[in-house]
Amino acid sequence: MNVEAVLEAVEHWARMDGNDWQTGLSPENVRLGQQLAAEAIQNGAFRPLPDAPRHLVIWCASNVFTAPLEWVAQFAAAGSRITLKAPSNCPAPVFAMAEAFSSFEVQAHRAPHDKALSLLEDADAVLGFGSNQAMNVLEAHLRPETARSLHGSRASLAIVEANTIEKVAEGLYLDASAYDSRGCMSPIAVFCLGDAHALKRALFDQWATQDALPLGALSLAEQAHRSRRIGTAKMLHPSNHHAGHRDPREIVVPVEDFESFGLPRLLPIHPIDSLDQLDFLQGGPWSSCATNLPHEALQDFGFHRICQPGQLQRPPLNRLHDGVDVLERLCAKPT
Amino acid sequence: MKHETLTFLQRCMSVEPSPDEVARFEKTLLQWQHANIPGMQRFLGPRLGNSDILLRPVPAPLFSRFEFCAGPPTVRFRTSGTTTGVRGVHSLPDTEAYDLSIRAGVDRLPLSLPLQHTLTLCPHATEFPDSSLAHMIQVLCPDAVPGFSKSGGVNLKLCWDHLKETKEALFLPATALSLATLLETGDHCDLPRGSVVMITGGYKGQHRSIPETGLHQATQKQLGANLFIIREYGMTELSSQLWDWGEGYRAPPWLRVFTKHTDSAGIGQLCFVDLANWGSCMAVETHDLGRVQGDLVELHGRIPGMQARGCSLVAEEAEQ
Repeated sequence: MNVEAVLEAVEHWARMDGNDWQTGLSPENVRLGQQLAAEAIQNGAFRPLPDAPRHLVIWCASNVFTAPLEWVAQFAAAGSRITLKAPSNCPAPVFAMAEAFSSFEVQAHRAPHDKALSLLEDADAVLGFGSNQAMNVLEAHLRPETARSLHGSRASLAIVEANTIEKVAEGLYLDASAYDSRGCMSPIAVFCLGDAHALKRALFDQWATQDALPLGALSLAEQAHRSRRIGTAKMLHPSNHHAGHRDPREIVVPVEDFESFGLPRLLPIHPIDSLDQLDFLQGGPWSSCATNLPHEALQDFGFHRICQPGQLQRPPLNRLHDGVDVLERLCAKPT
Repeated sequence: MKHETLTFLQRCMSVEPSPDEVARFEKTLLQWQHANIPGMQRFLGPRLGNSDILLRPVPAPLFSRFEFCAGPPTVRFRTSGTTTGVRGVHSLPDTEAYDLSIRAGVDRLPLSLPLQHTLTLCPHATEFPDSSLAHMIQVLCPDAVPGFSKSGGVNLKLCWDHLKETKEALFLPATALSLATLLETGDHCDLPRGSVVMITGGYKGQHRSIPETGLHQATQKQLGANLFIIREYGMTELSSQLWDWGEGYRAPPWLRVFTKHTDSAGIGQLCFVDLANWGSCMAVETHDLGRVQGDLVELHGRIPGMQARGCSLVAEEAEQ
C-alpha cells in the first residue's frame, strides 16, 4: 500500500483553491469541506485490501463535493484503477481530485448519465452516490458479477435534550452549516426534549453573531420551500419572528410539522415530551443521529451512526456507510 | 376599508393613478390588514415595518392551511383539486371588490369582448362554485353556454355545433388544455369577425403538455382567421388578473407585480400586491417564474421542481 503518497495527494487536494469549483457553497464552506474530508483520512487507519477491484467506478453526486475522497484514497492506496464519474452540474471538484491523484490511476469523466453508463462496462466494482432513482438506473445497467455498493438518498437527524444548550447549539451549528445542510450527514430536523425555545435562542446566537460560514447559493425551489416553511413557522408561533433578523435559520414547529426533506440552513426544532413521540421515525431513510442522550436510548430508530452534536460531518474512516461495510462489499470476488 | 378600496378601484377606471398614490394606498391597506386580519398579523409579526410586505409576501402554499380574512368569510375559492395536491383556500368577506376588479380589468382591454355570446370551456360556476375562474366567467358573462363539465370534460359535439352555428361574434374563454382537446378533433369553422378566444391556465398538465405557439396557430387555423386571441393570468389567491392582448401580459394599476430572487436575465419568482384583496391578503408569493419589464410581464412557467397547479389541471382530470 502506498499510503504516504496517497496522503500527499489528499493534502494536495485539500489545499487546492476550490473557489471556482461552482459547488454553490461559500468559499469558507468549501474550505471547511476540504478540511473535514482530509482530516478524516489523515486521522484514520487504512485497511489492507488484498482483494481490491482492479477497476473501480465511483459515481459521484453533487450535493457533497468531498464524498468521493475517502474512497479514492483507500482504493488508490490498494492499487485499484479508479474512474470517477463527475456529477454533471458540479464536475470541478472531481476533476481536481483526479488531478491531485495524478500519480495514481485515477481518471475523471464528465458525461450525461445515459452516456456515462458505458463507463460501467469493464468495471469490477461500482460505488454509487445519488438519488434513489439514479441508483436504480445504475443497478439496472450493472453486470451480475460486478461488485457494487449503491447509496441513494438518506438524511440525518438530531435528537437532543435541552441541557448544556450552548454546547449543543455550537455542534448543531457546524452540523447544519457544513455543505449548507445538503447531504446525508446534515441534520434535517432537531427533536428537543425540554426547552426548545432556549435551544432556538442559542442557535440564533450562533448563526446571528458567530457565523463564520456564510450561506452559499440557493436554487429557486430551495428558496420557495424555505419561504413556505419559514412562513408556516411564523404563523404557528410568534417566537419565529426575529426583529432585525429577516431570514431565520432555526424555527420551532410542532412535531406534526416534521418534513422528511432538508433545506439549506433551515433547522426545524420540534419540541417533544418523550422519545415515544418519535415512533414514526422508525424505518425511515436515516443515516446518522446527533445526540447528547445516552446512545442506547436511540438504538431502535435504525440510525447507522450515533454521535455527539458537532460530529455528524466528521464521519470516521472505515465506518459502516449506511450500515454497509463498503470496502468489504467492493472487494467481494464474484461467486 | 372595503369602501375605500371600491372607491380607489373605481377611480382607477377613469384616471390612471400615480405610483405615489398606489404606494400610499398600499401602505394604508397594509396597516389596516395588519390591524384587522389575524392571519396577516401572525404572518407579519406584532410590529409592522414600513416595507415588510414587499420583503415578505405570503407564500401561496400557506393558503392551504391558514385563513387570511377580515371577519367571517362568505366566499371560499379553492385552488384546483388535483389528485395529488392539497387545495389552497382564498377566503373573502364578500366578492364586491373582486367582481369590480374583474370588470375593471376587462374594461381596460383595448378590444371589446362579445360577452353576450359566450361559449365557455372553463369550469362552470354551477358545477364548480369554489373555482375563482368559474366565478370570473360568471361575473363577466352570466349567460355563458357551458361547453365543459366535471363528468365529461369538453362536450365536443355541443361545442362544435355551437361554434358552427353562431352568426354573431363569440367569446370563447378556455383553459389551454380544454382548447387543445377541442382542436384535437381536427374539426374547423370560421367564427364571425370580432370573436375572441381567451386562453388561461398552464400549458403543462400532469399527463401532457402542449406547445403554446402550436395551440395559437391551431386556434387560428381551425376557428377562423378573423378571431382575436387574448391570454389571461390569474390565480385563486388574487382578485385581479393580468391580460395579454398581443404585446405581453399587463397588470392593472391596482395589481403590482415584482420578482424575488431575480437572476441576471431578470427572471425571478413572481409576487403580487393586489389591492383588490382588501379583505384577505394583499401580497402573495407564487411558485411561478416571470420577468417584469416596465409594465409588461413575461411568464416563464413554474419554478423547476415545484408541483404543477392551475385550472388546466381541472380540464385534464375531467378527461381522465
